[in-house]
Amino acid sequence: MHVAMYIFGILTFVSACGVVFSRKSLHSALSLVATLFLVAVHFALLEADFLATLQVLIYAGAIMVLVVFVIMLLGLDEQVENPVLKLPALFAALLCGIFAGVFVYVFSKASILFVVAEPSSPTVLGDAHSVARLLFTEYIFPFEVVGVLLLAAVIGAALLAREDKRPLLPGRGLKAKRKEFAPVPDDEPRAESRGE
Amino acid sequence: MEVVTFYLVLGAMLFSLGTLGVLIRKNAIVMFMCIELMLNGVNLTFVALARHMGGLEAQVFVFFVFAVAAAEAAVGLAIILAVFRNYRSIEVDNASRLAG
Repeated sequence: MHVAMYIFGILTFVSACGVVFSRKSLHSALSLVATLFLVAVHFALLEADFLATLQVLIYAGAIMVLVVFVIMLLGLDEQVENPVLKLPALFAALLCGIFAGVFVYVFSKASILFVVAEPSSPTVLGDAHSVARLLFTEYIFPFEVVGVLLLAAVIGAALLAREDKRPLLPGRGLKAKRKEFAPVPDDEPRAESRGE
Repeated sequence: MEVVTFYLVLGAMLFSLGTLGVLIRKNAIVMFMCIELMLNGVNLTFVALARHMGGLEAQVFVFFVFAVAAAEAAVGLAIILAVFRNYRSIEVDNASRLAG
């Protein structure tokens, strides 16, 4: 347990550094896939089987497919970003170092704060059955709200990503659209839809 | 080192690395991926404390974080697409027309 924990922990840290410091965005994406898989391994080591499965399915599967799809769609896989070594970047690095240092200090000291928390029942396992039991009884309302949130996200994404993104004001509805898509004479210039 | 301490430190490291990435990178997609990194650091902290405390509520919270991250991915990538369509680039410095 401990050996695996340390090995996978170091690997996670290294691949997370790869996400931040890679010069190509596709390399960042691949490092992120590795990081997400390694975090799933940590979930499995922490007896959260259900979450480990979800991590692989949702994060490493669905979300990363979206990210890589967008990178390929925009043709950013050949773009090389030069490393930023200016003063603001160094200042940010210093700030994040202090941030991490404070966290590590607090966590190394704070373990006495929750020493009482021995697992009361050793059979608490994060398998799908027990998590779902909690999710569909006590947390049923947040679960429904999350469903609504996902619906709103789908509608919002479709609205944002469509080609013509003028707002659907009165006069911009379906009837106006139909009129707009009717064949126009060539000498009449069409309204420019984009900003530039 | 105790198991929970190790995972708290690892989660803090992931979170700080994600913060650093958001601060120093200019590419909007890489910034987005760094936000995912921060979310993962928090998730790891949640799960480590869930195991330490012997409860499952934190795992339910991680489930909700997953759902919110999925929603964020859909909307965020759509925004990146819209920005790219208008500015022909996803460097966040270029999309500063609203800044005075």
